[in-house]
Amino acid sequence: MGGRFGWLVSYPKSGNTWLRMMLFSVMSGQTAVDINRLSNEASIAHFAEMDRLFGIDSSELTEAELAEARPALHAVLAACSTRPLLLRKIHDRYWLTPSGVPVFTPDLSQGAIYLIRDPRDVAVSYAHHRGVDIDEIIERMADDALFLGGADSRGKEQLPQPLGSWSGHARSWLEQTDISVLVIRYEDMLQDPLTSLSRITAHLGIATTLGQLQAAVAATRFDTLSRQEQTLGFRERLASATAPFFREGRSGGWRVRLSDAHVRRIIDRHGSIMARFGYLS
Amino acid sequence: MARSQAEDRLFYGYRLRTSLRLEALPSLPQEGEADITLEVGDVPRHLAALTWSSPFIEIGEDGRVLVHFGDGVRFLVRDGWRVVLDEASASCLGDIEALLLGTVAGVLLHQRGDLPLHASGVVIGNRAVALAGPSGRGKSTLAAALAAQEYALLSDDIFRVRFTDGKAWAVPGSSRLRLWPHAAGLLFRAPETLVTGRIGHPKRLLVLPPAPEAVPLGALIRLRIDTRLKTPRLTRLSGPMAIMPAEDVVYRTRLGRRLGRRIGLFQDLARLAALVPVFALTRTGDPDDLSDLARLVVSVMTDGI
Repeated sequence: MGGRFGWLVSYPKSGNTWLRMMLFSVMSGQTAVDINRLSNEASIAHFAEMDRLFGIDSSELTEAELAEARPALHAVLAACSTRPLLLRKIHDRYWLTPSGVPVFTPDLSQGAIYLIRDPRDVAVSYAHHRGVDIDEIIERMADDALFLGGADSRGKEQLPQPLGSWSGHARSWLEQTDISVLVIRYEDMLQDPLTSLSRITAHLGIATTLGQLQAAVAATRFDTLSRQEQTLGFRERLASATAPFFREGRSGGWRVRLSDAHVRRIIDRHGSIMARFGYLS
Repeated sequence: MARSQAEDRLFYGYRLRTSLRLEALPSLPQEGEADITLEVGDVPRHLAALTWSSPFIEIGEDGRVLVHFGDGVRFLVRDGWRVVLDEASASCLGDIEALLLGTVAGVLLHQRGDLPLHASGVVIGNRAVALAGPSGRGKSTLAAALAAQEYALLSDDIFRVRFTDGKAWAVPGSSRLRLWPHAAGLLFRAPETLVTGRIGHPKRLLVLPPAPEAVPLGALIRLRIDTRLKTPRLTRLSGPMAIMPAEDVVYRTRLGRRLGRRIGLFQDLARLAALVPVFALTRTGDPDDLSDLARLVVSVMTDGI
């Protein structure tokens, strides 16, 4: 028993769900993907999990106590794992506990994938996801102190996760040196999913064949996932969402959805990281 | 923390003799033997020989259990009846109550061989309904919504079931509902007027009159969430699925197993399912479904399904 983590890291609405589905297709060897079955695997850390593993009422813990307990939670999960690689979805920025311990324990980490997406498209997608207007989302994406989960009204099942601003989130993962990170642009994954998936599996040490990768890409095509959502719904879609979770599956939609003022605000706040990943060229 | 002469309080159906003034628990006239005692004294920072530990709980080979909030309040619990609160941590009432009415109560009930459901409950028509589910499913919120309709609160988060005379009885527990700010905001115009629990914790406490006595358990309703649903759905459960997985129904199932309740909990759950109808109430994920949920719970208790 015992395993190491493969962290699947992203700001929300940046392709994390799609990536998880591709990886589970690869790892399970199944050609067909059920979006509602996979959604429970590699899930974000939640209160019920901490209750179960630590025996405490974790929803009664303060934010500082929860934070200090996170590395121990990861240690227990890793020690109990029957698989050598544990995939874990993460929206947290890279962070340390108040006493200075890395939450994502380097010694328990196989590596991390950082999925990055043009923040202008993130803004459009995130606004639909939360059912709020673009201005509110742009403000949210600029908030360095933002948390997901915890006392957040929409995420009482999830532990508090420091998210921060869009560019602060990216910086936190790119500037840390504890865990080996492979950055994948969502736009590149859309254009050539096979190459992206191949690089991701290699980085996480997942043994695959070309045939398995091709099957995983085929099983998780946007129209397949979207059709499943239309027929059966998708558990991860928020009740307040104003569009399907698998909404467009393409990039550049912001060009017709955002005003010039919206675009300016995003570039003013996040321009340097956008330039670094080719979003301003 | 106010100290007093030893006084008796009602604690999950047991007579608790305590040297701390615990206003959260109903007072009892002092008489006879206590079922559980609470004293203030020295509690070790750690136990020596452990069978299991987490950052908040240690179980010793001798059966003693240390429960603590990190560097804060610490309790030592042994043999299902003796509780010691660490002298150095006896000043913070909010923390003491949160731990005593929650995890410490769970440890005591498991040590005593009781069945503590992970549920909140109210009384509807002289029978209790247990609203069960893991943390975050909305047990306390739904119980608060029902309490706002004048149904008496029976317990929050831990729901002790007692089997007597071939019936399942619901034993009164904590009458303080612990609500996240958003849930408090849904139910009350001025949630900020509710008292707080632990210092630095956002939950608010809705303090209600304690339920006076045990009542027959009329139904067990398991809360689920499916964001795909447009309206909440109620279904009757039967067979083993009615009580599985046990982790979703019993308070700290794994802790109970480690305290010797591996077989006993399973037997008690099977007994419960034979005596009481079990339902799944699936929420939509939309907080606005609260009144629909409350209506469905009342309909189960008044009309059946």
